[in-house]
Order: sequence, then C-alpha cells, then structure tokens
Amino acid sequence: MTNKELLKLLSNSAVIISVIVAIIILFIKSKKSGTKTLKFYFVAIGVFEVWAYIAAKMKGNNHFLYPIYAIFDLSTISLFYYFVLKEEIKKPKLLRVLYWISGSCLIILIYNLIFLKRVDLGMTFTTIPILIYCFYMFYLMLENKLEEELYLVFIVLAFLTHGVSFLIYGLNQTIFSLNLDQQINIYIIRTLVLLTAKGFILVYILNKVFNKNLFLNG
Amino acid sequence: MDNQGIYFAIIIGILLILSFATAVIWFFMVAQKRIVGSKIKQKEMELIFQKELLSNAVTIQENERDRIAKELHDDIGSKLNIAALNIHLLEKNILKDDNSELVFQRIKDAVNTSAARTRSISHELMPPVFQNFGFGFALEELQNELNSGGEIKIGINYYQNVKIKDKIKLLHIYRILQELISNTIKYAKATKIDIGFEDEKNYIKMTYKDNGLGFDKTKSLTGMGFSNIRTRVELLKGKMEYETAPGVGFEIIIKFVNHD
Repeated sequence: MTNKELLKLLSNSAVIISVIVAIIILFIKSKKSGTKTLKFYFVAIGVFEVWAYIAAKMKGNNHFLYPIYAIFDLSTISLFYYFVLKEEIKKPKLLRVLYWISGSCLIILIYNLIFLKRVDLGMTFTTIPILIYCFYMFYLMLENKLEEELYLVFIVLAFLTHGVSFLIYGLNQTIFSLNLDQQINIYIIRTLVLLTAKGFILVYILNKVFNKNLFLNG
Repeated sequence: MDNQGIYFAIIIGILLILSFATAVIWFFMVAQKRIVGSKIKQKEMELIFQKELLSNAVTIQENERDRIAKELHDDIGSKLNIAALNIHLLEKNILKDDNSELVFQRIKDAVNTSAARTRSISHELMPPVFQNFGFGFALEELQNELNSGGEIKIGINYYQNVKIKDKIKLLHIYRILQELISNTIKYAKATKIDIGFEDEKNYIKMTYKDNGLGFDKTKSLTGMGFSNIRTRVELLKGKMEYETAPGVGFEIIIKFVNHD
C-alpha cells in the first residue's frame, strides 16, 4: 500500500466514524443546553464529512466547503461556550469577551470568504479563538467549576484537533514547499490524530450506550 | 531551516499537541477519580452523622417521654390514687365525723399537689413565660432564678440587635442554654456565667462562658447532655466550637444561620 492509499483509507475511516457517531448521538438524550449544542455539533460534523466526501468524488475537490465549515465550527463552539459561561459558570462579564472574540473572528472569516478567499487563513482564524476557549476551560476544570465528563472529553479533543489544524493551516505554505512524500506523511499523521479523536468520541458514546446511560450529562 | 528540518518540526509539533492532550485527559481522569473518592467518603460520613443525629433525637424524645411517664405515674398518679381512696371512704360513710375533715383535707392536698405538679411538668415542657412573653423574658426569668440563689451570677447580654422569630429555633437555643447551665452547676463549680448574643449579618453568634473548673479538651465529650446540645445545634443548622482546659473555665461559641 502506498502512502497516498493509506491516507485515503484513513480519511475514509474518519468519515465512517463521524457518521456512526452522528447516528448514535441522535438517540442519546441531553438535558443541558451545552450538551445539546455538542449533540448538534457532532451530528452536523457527520453531515459535513459525508458532504465533503461526496463533493470530492463528484467535483474532484471540496475546497468550497472549508469556509462554510470554518464558520459553522466557530459559531457552534462559541455557542457551546456561551451556554457554559451563561448557565453553568454564570459569569456574564466573560460573555462580553466571548462576543468580541467570536464576533471579530467571524467577521474576518466572512471577509476572507468574500474577498481574500484563502482557505488556510480562514481555517487558522477559526482555530485561534477555539484554542483560547479550550485553555480557559482547562482552567475552569482545574478550579473544579466544571465536572461534566463530556465537556472534558470534548474540550480535550477540540484542543487536539484544532491545535493540529492550527499547525497545519498556519504552516500551509511551508508544507506546500516540502516534497510530495513529506506532505503526504504530514497529512497521514494529521489524519491519524483526527481519527484518534473521533475514535475516542465513538468509544465514549458506545460506552454510554452499552451501559444504558443514555444521557449526555456525565 | 531546510525542508527536512521543517518536516520534522511539524511532526514533532503534532506529537507535542497529542501528548499534551493525552496528559490533560490522564490528569483529569486521575483528579476526577480522587474527587469522586473523596465525595463518596464525605457522603458516607454525612450518612453516619445523620444516623447519629437521628438516633440522638430519638433518644432525647424517649428520655423525655420516660421522664414524663415517671412523673405522671409516681407523682401525680399516686396523689390522685390517694384522693380516690379518700373519696371512696367518704362515699361509704365509714368514717367518724371528726375524721371526715381530715379526709377532706387529704383530698384537697392531693388534688392541689397534682395540679401544681401538672403545671410544673407543663412549664418544663414549654416555659409559659417563653410562650407568653417571648425568649427575652424567658432568659430574664432564668437569670433571675439563678441569681436569686446567690451561689452563681449569670450575666446575659441579650440581644437588642438580634432578632429571631422562629419559635422552634428559640426553644432549641433556650434548651441548649438550660443544658449548659445545668452542666456548669453540676460539674464546674463556677461562680460566674456570661451569655452573649451577636448578630453577625449572615448568622447569629451565641457565646457561653463560665469560670469553673474546666476540663481536658482532648477527652471527648460523650455525655447525654452534650450530645443533646450537639443534636440541637445540628437542628439549628449551626456549628459549635469550644475552648476549655483544667482550671480555666469553659467557653462555647455556637453560630447558626438566622433566616428571619
């Protein structure tokens, strides 16, 4: 098997796992607004993955989906943090910071989508606020203000996937200057990381289903 | 940096992020396990404490019933039996005229004593001054009773700014004070007791201090009286701490939330 074939296999596996997660999570109940948002996020990710797969097969590339995905990603994760800050941490002052960060990044994303049309720039801008939120959530968890198990899983995985995306999209131009084998190797490692994250979520959800704990509230 | 260097730097970067994420998950899992463990322990302790509290409350209630039953049977019951017997003698007309006056007197005495005892038991259960005039008057009466004996002086700093409306709460406080005073009189050989109340915004602070013999604080207090106090403090959702040592008297501070 060549590296390219391996990359394709890993990417397809990631799509399958995302779809399975999206289907299973539909049957799991959630009580809090935060967990409801996460549920929506995972279902939408499954839809995006299928859409991206079909677009790649039909049109040859799925680059048009990147900015839409970037806006969806930032909006949904910001909405999740909005509910956490409003309903669980109860810090209305921090909500203003959230509005400013997410709002300005969304404006930059839309500006990029209309005028600059640079996929790498857009994706980098999406990951920065999400990484900031992740670090803040780590801090909150250290303070024991958040004990939700799903939040922990989500925040760590969001940090992992967006951290790697930040590295890849931030250094996109540099990566393009590498030879093809090296480029593919980097994308293989990136896909492996994504696969690990998705696999982790799948195991977590399956564990919930097998333990008949059909609530996403830890 | 050449291409090979950039390539390795990116891979190392990805691996670093992966290890950081793994470390975070591991750290939180361990921390969560500890938190859950300590929470279970705390719950178990609370459960044991609740059981003790319940058992204390039941014991207090049973002791009180036992005491009232004894008083009714031994004191009032026997007096009423005497009255009944004497009434029976009068009914049968078996007495000589000069004896009937004596019998009447006996009946009168027995009925009067029974009435007095009934009143006294009822006062012990709920002091009338407490019921009719409130906690402040009840404290004053308690103070006057003790001070009139002359052996012990009691000073009560009550309570211009302290306002507690809940009658049950006040009764608990009153009983705690009675128990503390009784302990001081029984064991401490004190000549002075000071009682103070302060309103500390979110809670009421009650201080009780005597200048008696004191005792070794390291020896735990297991007596029924102290267990009653502890139960009542818990029922007040309060906290207490005491300071004592041989020869330096005894001081207890009880804090409880006042929702009124």
